[in-house]
Amino acid sequence: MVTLKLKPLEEVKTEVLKALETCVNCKFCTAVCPLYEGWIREAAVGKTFAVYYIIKYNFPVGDELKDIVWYCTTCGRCEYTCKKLAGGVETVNTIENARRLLLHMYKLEPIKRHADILRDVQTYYNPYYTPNEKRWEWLPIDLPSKGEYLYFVGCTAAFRMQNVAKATVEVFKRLDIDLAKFSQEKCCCSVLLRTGFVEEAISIMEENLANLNNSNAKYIVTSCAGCYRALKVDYPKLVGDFNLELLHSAELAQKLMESGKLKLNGEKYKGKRITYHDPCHLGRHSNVYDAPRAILSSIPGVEFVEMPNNRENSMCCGCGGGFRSGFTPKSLDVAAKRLQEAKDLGVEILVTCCPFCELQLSQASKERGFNIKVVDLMELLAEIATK
Amino acid sequence: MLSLENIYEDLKNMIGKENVSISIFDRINYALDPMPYDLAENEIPYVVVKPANAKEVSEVLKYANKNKVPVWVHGSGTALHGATRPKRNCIVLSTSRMTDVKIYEDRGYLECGPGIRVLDLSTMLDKRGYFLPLMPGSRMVATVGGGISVNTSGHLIDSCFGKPIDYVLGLEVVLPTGEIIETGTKALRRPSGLDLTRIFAGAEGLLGVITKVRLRLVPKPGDEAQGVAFFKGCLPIAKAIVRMYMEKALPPLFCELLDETCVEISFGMRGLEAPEGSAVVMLKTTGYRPGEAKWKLEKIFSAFQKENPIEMRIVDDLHEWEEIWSCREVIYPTLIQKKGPAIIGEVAPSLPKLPDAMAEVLELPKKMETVKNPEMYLYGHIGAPTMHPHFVVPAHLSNEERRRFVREVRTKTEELNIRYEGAGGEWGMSFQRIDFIKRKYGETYYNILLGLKKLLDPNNILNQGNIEGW
Repeated sequence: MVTLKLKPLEEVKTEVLKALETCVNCKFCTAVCPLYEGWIREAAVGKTFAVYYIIKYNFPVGDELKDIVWYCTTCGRCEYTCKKLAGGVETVNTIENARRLLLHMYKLEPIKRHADILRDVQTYYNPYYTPNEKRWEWLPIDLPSKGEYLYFVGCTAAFRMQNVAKATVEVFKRLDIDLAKFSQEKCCCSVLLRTGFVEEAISIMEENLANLNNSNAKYIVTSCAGCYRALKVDYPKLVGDFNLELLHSAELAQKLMESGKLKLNGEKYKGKRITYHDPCHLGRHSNVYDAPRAILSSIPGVEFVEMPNNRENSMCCGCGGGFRSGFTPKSLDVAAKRLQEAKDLGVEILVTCCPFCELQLSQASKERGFNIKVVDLMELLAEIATK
Repeated sequence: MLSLENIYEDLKNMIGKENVSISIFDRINYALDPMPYDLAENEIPYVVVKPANAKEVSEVLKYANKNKVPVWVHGSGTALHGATRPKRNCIVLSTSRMTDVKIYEDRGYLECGPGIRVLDLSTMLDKRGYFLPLMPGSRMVATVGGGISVNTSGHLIDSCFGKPIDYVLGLEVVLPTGEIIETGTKALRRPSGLDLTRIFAGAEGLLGVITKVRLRLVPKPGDEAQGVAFFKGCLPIAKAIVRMYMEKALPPLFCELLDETCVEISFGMRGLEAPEGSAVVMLKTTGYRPGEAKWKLEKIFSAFQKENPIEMRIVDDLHEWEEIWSCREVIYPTLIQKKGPAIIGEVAPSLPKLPDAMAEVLELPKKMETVKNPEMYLYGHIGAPTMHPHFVVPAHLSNEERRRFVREVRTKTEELNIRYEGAGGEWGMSFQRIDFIKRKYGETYYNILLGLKKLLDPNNILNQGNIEGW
């Protein structure tokens, strides 16, 4: 039995006002926001107070709000800084609540690309307007539908960055993991939740929850940071709890390495300088920082260096929160800034744990002339992991 | 009669449409400040403009004078005495585009725009072996223009490193009527005698818009030492500070107080040890020769010793020091996260009266009327000496009740400043402190300020309402 936990909109309004009680308007968020270029509205405080004055004083709701409240990747850098140095406002939740309110209570028309994505997820159960039956077509070998570890591939890996999906399956099969495909998989709905379409996501999320809980698997494994965050944080909050343990592929790989079941052959990458990009959804949103690092720093002969903005301070790649679809050129500017950080370190390879970050950073790397190879941790492991 | 659309058209023709906004949401964001109450209608600006240089600032000010529209200057909007919030519907002039920095090492100075953030400039200087003697707690966002306009020390103890104006060699200022003037010198000797730099630095944006600052480069003191001293309560710390000065111990760079509850909360959160029920003073000294900082700290400690600290030690482990320092550095937001919105006061008594002033500060909650016995905590740059009584604003208070509470806190703390012979030192003196100016210095003094304002700003364009007071 699945319980509906979705808060009514009136309660969300109160939640937004309450969240801002401890905002001291210090504007520290403007100092750490990847999008801040001089206008307060570009950072968290500018958005949250726009919505505060709408709710409390009926300020007008119009198109300009699309360029304010949706001009944000929801990366959470502001929230981390606010918690450490200021009023501790839950900015990510507040901005997402604001998006939900503006769409559903104030009837703001969504950004066209976001409306398209909603339509596609509702029609195809993925935002890539591809029939969902094709979700597992990339599989190089057949995977059973039942097993101890159920692979939640995620739409981006299934329909765009299939190299990540293939590498994940290859690595875990090589290590004799009882891996199965989640054959009933539909979009985790992270893309809807981040852009304000919470109501619309619930029924698909409920189906995923029920099917996962009925699968008799022990673990859900995903190699997508966005899916991981949704399954870990949003599903318990909005639809219910899992009876399986959730693991990111990096966490599973770390477990295997630490129990001696995964060894790393450093030959191929000997002498290479590599760095790691924390996906916002895996790092700040889900608190997983160590697993990828444990692996990368264990590769013999490889020089692993940290970017200046790492872990909780990691700089966003610019694609999340509906930003890539809503503000594509700007989102690539953000990606370019991140790649510059890597370039200044002299790295040849940038490793990440999210197919969407990889999609974004490798596109920016190619289009903006950075000569940095962007790979998923699982792609790296496919080349160097042994039993 | 100008309409919003007129203002928008005129200003965008002047400085470019991407640098002007009449969006209501931009307008409120450039008016909001740390005060724990919402904007009133008269506090909402008409428009936000971001000029690039003195010439554009001049055009905006001439326009404002011609049309009698007030202009508010916005650096970071983080002043703690209510000065940054507009008091009239106005044009907000943001300095955020004026962030150029040029470091002339061969000349011993730097020049920068007013909109460069203090921490950003400090980081640039640090990389080259220089020190920026400007340390507001808000340095992540506070602007150099704002810091010079208020002549604020923040954490930095005046008697150790002076005040920001001591390092200002010259300024470029746009007068309220639009003329652009330069003050000061390009030599390393600040002018003695008549020098209008001293009028504009510390003028809180009332007499002109600073569009360029020339600051002397200060080599970084390479030697540092830090320590903590725990006492049974705050009063012995007040006495210890008096001793420090009386015994001619050289004042430290930082000397910060946390009361017993603040110690319990903040040290507890970080798993740091502190004697039960103790208040703490934490210090950093600096020097240019190895061992100099530690020598200074030991001298301070031997003065402190006479007031019977529970425990006193030098902290050699920098990682430990970072943790201890962060207890003080973020006590304001820590208390806000735990207890809710707040208003803080600034009490800076004369040296011999520090213990008595502190005793009265600690009794303030009993004397409050708008809120009965509010929760209050005490911390501050005690070595300066400055005390910050931190009052929790009960969350259920309406906007009107909050304004009254804030006003009462201000009135009662300024009354202590008057009785205990001080005059602030960190925040400015305008708006919420005009009552203090009038009471402390009298009508003649206040009229000189009004006269100066009238002379330079005959149409009362800049920061209108701040020299008038509440």
